[in-house]
Amino acid sequence: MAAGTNLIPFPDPVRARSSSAESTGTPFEAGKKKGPEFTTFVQDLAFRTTLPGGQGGTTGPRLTQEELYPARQAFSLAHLTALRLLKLAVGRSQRALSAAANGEIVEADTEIQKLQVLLPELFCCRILGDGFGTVVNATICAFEFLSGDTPSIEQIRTFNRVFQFLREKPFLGTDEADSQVELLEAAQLNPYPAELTDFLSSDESLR
Amino acid sequence: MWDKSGQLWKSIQEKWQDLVPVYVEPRKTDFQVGNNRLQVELEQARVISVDPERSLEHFARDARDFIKLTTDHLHISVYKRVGFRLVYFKEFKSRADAAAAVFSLKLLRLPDGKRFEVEEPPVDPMYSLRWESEKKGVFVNVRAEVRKFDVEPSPEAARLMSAVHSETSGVVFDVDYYTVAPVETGQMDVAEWIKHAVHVIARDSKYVFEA
Repeated sequence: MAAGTNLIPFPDPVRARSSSAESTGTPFEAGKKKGPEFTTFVQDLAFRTTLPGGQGGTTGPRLTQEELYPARQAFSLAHLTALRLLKLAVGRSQRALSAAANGEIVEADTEIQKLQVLLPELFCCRILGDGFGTVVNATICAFEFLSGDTPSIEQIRTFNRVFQFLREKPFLGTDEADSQVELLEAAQLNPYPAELTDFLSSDESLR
Repeated sequence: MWDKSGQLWKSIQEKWQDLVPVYVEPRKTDFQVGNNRLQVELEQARVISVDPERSLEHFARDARDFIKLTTDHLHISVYKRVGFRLVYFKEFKSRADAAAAVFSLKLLRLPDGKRFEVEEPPVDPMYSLRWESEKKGVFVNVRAEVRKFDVEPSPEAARLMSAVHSETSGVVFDVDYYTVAPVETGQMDVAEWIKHAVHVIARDSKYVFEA
């Protein structure tokens, strides 16, 4: 049985409450809704390391985004949009992967183009966190680096992994984001802006 | 945690400058800011708010900022458990009235007449339910309770304040919504999660009282 979320009352004097203490036949009358008296938010922290490649070190059942955030009406617009676009991105990269594996390069390319047009809107959801913005920006740069060429099967697989990771962890920190950027690099993609690469390789950067 | 507490609370103080220490030792640190209490101890961080605003927006924002700072400074990668507890209190004139109010909800069956050689009806009734899967859980508790509060000032303080003795009867509705499966930090935005928790609690609490 799980431990209760501990609630430790303030030691200060109890504040007087305005309340209708009249006892009537129906003690819980309808009327103005009352706010909570106490609210507690608690997190039990675990000091665990993250496995290489950004995969979490947890075992056993895991909560998905849908299970953690189950109420559609309670979503922020950015979170809801990001999850919707990431679901599309995962599906399109998966279809591109299947098509490429079957030698249907035109179909794979079509799916990749459809995927690519999602990215600017996804970048608009970067209010979710710096890690999110870093990863989306890196994928945009990686596609720009391809200059319209169809990515290889390995590169499509990497995109698919990155989008799946982002869908599960949209609030990732910058360290985890860096590990995703490294995955893109490892797949012979350039996840950095072309201007930055040019600047770093020019004499100007040495001054 | 021992060597990080100073840095952590310095960052927290940069955000909330009127932070007041309540209890400080290496394995447990507890500060107050406004009507919020911020606590960090071994394996646990907690935010408690008394009489928060009804929408809980400020509370959710404060909890997010506090947990973010704690997570970053203590290098947390996994939350073993995330919990959100709401406690509502309605005051009644007497202990008997509060008990009658709980019985009027018809959640409990009250035996008629004199029982266990006591003529008076039962007091301080309590009704609780727990739903729990391998991933999430919720604990709901409805009870009548009497809260006693006694403050006896020291002889020095007695010149400035008088003793306080108060007794309040009322009905408590207490909901604890929590995760059972571990949550990775990249999955969690505290403010967003609290909004969902509040929505789920508001949506489903009414079914507790439909019995």
